[in-house]
Parts: sequence; structure tokens; C-alpha cells
Amino acid sequence: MFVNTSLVYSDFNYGFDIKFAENASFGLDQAINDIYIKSDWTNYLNPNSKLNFGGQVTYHRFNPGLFSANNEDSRAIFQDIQLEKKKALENGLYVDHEYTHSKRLNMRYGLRVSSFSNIGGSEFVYTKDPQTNEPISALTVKDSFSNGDFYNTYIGLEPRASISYNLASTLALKGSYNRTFQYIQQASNTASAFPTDQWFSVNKNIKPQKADQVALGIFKNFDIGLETSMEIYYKWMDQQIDYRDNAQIAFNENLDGELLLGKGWAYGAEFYVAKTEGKSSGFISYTWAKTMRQIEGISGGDPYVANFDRRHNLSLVFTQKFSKRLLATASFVYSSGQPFTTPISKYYYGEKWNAEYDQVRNNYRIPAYHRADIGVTLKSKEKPDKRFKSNWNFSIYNLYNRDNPYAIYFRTVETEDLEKNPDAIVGNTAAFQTTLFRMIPAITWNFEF
Amino acid sequence: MKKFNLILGFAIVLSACERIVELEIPSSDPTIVVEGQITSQLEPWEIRLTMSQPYFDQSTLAFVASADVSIVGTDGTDVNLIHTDSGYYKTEFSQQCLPGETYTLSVKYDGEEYLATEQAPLAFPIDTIASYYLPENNGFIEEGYYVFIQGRERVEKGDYYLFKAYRNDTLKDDFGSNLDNDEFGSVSFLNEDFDINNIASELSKGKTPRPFPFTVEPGDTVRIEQYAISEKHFKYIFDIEAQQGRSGTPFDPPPANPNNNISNGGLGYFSVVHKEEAQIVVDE
Repeated sequence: MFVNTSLVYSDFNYGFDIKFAENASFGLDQAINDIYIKSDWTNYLNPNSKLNFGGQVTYHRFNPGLFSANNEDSRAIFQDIQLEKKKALENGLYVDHEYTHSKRLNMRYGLRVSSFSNIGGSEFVYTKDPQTNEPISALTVKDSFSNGDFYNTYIGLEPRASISYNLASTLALKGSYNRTFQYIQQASNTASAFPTDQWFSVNKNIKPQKADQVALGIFKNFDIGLETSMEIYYKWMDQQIDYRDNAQIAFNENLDGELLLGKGWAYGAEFYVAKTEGKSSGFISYTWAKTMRQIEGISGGDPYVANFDRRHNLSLVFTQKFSKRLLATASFVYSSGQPFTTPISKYYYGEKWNAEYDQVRNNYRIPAYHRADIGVTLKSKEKPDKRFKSNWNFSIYNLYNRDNPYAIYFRTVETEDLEKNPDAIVGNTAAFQTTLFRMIPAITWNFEF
Repeated sequence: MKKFNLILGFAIVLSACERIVELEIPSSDPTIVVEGQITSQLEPWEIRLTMSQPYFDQSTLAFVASADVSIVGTDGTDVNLIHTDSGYYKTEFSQQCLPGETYTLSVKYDGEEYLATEQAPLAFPIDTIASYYLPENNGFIEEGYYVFIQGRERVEKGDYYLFKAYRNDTLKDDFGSNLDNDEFGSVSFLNEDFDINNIASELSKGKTPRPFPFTVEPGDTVRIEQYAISEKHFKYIFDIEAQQGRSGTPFDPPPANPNNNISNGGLGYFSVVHKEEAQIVVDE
């Protein structure tokens, strides 16, 4: 019997500050703070049969957001808005059985039970009438649940099974099915392809997301130290969330009311080749994936590309050992750009240029992300009596100085923009791109003791 | 085993860089844009017709000069609007819309007809206009002189307002349009619960009116225009200003067109409003 138990505390904070004008600047700070205890047990029933079981208890604390004014003038006009902090308890219990039927056939099957309970202590605002389930206007029906009251619980049954069949000693087929429930989801305004999107936990307004996935793979090893595989998958999802058109996101105390729910599906194929032995090693991995959504009220009710769809993903890693102490690595990554929504025209109304949008959400992608990195590592001489080990690493991140977009957005050119874009004309419309990391040469010294 | 990493040097300072980029984004065919408002005040009616253009097109605004434009009303109104200049169309004589009547704008252009129908809201007068001095920042606004009004509201729900405030003939719209509806209650610009005839005594009780959000100086002339507008128009202004306020952050609303009242895919809005005005010279 093997047991592995861990207690983990994690605190994930994110925020950003926005300067609308010289005298108007705002910030939003959000946080997810988790404590979880997790225990995994393995019991060998016999050499061909293994029972795994365990569980996890997570205590979540969400700070959905503190909107605050960051300078004197803004503070004079806007008071801070602290969205109600939320608490929840998430549990999981699982048992599964790994069974080797023969040299050719292995299987693993099991069941996980998950639950998510919202805990009282803050005000809760309904977006649907609790009796009739009809949508209601914001901020009209509220409930206060006392601290510690588990006022809303969802339970999910998550069956899973995988089977592996060896056609030959170096050729295997694998198939799997699993169902998962997700209790925390992210929503994006799809306007600027920002990675800082809002997190939403399930509650009386939002149900958990259920996903069913099937996958089939073929695995083949070659004598020359080559491992290859190919896998295809399909995934069905429901209770997907997205913001409705014209949702009000800033300074909104009832963000749940700005969400619409629908279904999603994803499918794709993964190809993998790795050379694991020898002085030269490395791998190539390529994934083609498509993730779609369909939500009544968004994109005319038609399917549209999900915000996190990355159609092509390529990753190349190559390592060359020159000696026991000297090795060099080179890598390249490529990923399709994030889908977002662009204007399809502009029109003049209210003495300003306005963007016209297609009904289609996520009608375009930001340019693809790609970069190459190289590095050389020099290790210290190994001596058996030496307690310390160290190595030097010389590397260049983003070798060819690719201008990868972090965010792209559309707006009117302001006078302040002329500093960086002297050719622009104030009042005209333009696309702006922000870039975070260009080429970064670095020298790192690693020390182990 | 413990690990210790020391990153000795970054050759480049990490800072976000923002620049204008050129993108091959999808583009729609030019669409007609209607910008027009008719009011309860007796004056010539005027609307403007322009065309949308590709987002990155830097050429000047294309206006429509050859459309047939007319407005008919349930009160018997039937007038043509004639092109004057730069896409503006005007009635020959002064007109006014009447509360509760419905008006339909028709624009015929390039073989298509665009229609917009809206009902004139009921009339609500501004009772009083006044100013007061706020001695210190109250958490919402800084100290200074402010102007506010008082008006009466119907008991029934469903009234929407837009206020335009001019300080010495300059429109003050730094914070967007001043919109109001009857769900705002005591924090409405109409200040129904504030005793406007006894300002000093109300202020001493800790009650403050909701003023227009800019400070003024004694001697300034402030004019307030109050527009009673339809619910759809209210939402249109709210949504288009949210879209105009786009700054490329997660605060922005999802990109979407505001719901408008122009048929056949036309952009813009044709509004029918009831207009009231009040003016004050601010004193010490």
C-alpha cells in the first residue's frame, strides 16, 4: 500500500490598471485563494491488479474583484466597488481499478464523485427567479445566507475508463472515455484577446460544466530510440458561459447577469515523435484542435469559435550533448492566434467614429504566436565528495525578436499616441498591439546543495 | 536537495510596448447611417445620412446626398426633408412632435428603403433650476459650486431621460451623457425628494441633491436641456457610449452593435424626444 498526502495553499492574484486619461485611472484586483488537502492511496491486490483511491477537499475563497480609482481625480468621483467575496467547498472522491489481463490487454476504470458547495456569508443576487426560473432584471431578488451555511450544492458523477491493447511488443492501441464536471469557468469579453479574463464559480445562477471526452490513440516505438504516437479526441461540453452582447463588465456588482449559457464541443488530433536516446535527442509535437461554442443569444445563435481555440500548435525541442558537462538546447513553438472580435466597418455617429460589428463572435484571430529559444548549459565538474553542484546557463529567449502580440484592440488615435506612432492622425481609427517580451538574452547560475 | 537560481542579467528592460499595427480584418459593404432627432420644440427637423466605411479607411466621411427622406406622424404630419449640405436633410418649415404620437422616418436610397418608428414621450417640465456650494469632497464629487434641477416624475414606471448641460454655451460631457430613468429614485437628476426652496436647511440636514457632474463658478451661465426619450433610445445611448469607451482592456463590453430602430440593417438612430430647457446664472 502506497499513500501520498499533501496539503497545498495557493493564492492566485491578478489585476490590472487602466489609465483612461490623464486624470482618470482605474484598477481591478481579483484573487482566488485555495487551501486543499489531497490523499492518494494505492493498494496492490495482486501482481495484475491494483486499486487506486483517494480524495481531495478544497476550500475556495474568491475575490471577484475590487474596482478602485487609482488617482486623486478619479477617487473624487468614484468610490471603490468591492464585489461580494465568495466562499465554496469542493470535494472529490475516487476509486479506480487497474487491471492487467494479459501481456496484450490492460485496462483501468473507475468513478469519481465530485461536489461543489457555495457557502453563505455574502449577499447572493439571483439572475433568474428562484420560483419560476424566468430571467429577472438585475439586483431585484437577493438572498442572504448566514456564514457557514452550505446553501447550494452540486454533485457530479464522473465515470472513466481506458483500455490499452498491444498489437505487437512495440505497437499499442489505447482508447479512453471520461466525464468531468468543472465548477469554475472563465469568461472573456473577446474584444482584445487579453489573457486576464474573469473567473466565475458555479452558484444558484450558473450550473457546473459537464464534459464527456472520448479519445483513441496509436503508439509505436522504433528500435532506433524513436517513440511515436497519434491520438484523436472528441469532447462534448454543456453549461458553457460567455458574456452577452453589450454586457456591462466594469463596476458591475451583478456580473452573473451578464452571462449566457450554452453548449460547446471540441475535437482534434495530436502527433508526437520523440528521440529519447543518444547524444542528440528531442521531440516534435503537433496538435490540431478545434473548439466551438453555441449559445442562444450570442453570434445569432450559430456556432462560433471559442475564445481559447488554438487551431495549430507546434513544438520542437532539440538537445545536443557535447560532453558530460556541456549541452546545448534549441526550441521552437508555434501557436495559432487567439480568436477575438474585430470591427467590420466604422461609422460616424454622435460626433465620434463607432465600430460596426458582425453578428459573428470571434470572427478573426490575432497574429500567431511563435518564437525560438536557444541555450547552452555548462555544468560544474562532478566529484563524488563534492556536496555542491552548480551550472551556468547562457540563453536567448525569442531569438529572432518576434513581435508577438499580447493584446490587440481597436480604438481612436489620441494625441498621446503620437509619441510612439508619429505618423498616426488623431481622431482616426487604428488597431493597437501591445507586446511584452521581445528578445531576452540571459545568464543564469544554478546552484544545488 | 535545495535549488537556488540566480539570474544574473537581463539585457533588455521588460516593458510593454504599444504600437499601431496593420491587420487584414474582414470588412462589410458600406451601410447607410442615420443620425436624426426630432423634438417637441417648434423648429425645422433635420437628420443626417452618411455611409459606413472600412475600419482602417482614412478617407473623409462619405455622406449621402441623393436620398428621398420623409417623416409621417399619427398626428397627420407628412413632410419631406430636402438635402442641404454634407448629408444633412431639413424640412422647409418648423415642425414639432406631439406627446404620445408616433412618427416614422423613411429613407429611400439606392433601391432600398430604411424605416424608423418611434413614439414621442410624454411631457415633463423642469420645475426649478438652482445651484449650491459643496464645501468638501463627499466621496463622489469634489468641493465647489454645482447646478441641479428639480422636476416631477410620473408615478408609473417607464420614463427615460437624457440631460445635456452647457456651461457658458459649452456642452459638458466629460463623463458621457447624463442618463436617468425612474428606477434611479432619490439619486435621479430630478431630485424629487429634495426641498429646493430651502437648500441651506436641506444641506444642514446632510441631504445633498444630485447635481450635474461638473463644477461651476459664480457668474457662469448654465443651461440644462432635458430630453424625455424612449427606453430603446436610452439603451442605445448607454450601449454606444460603452462601445465608444473601449480602451482595450477586460473592462470593455463584448464587441456588439447597440440595438437601434433603423430597419433593413441601417446604422444609427432616429429619435423622437420631448425637450425642456432651464437656465441659471450661478450666484455666490
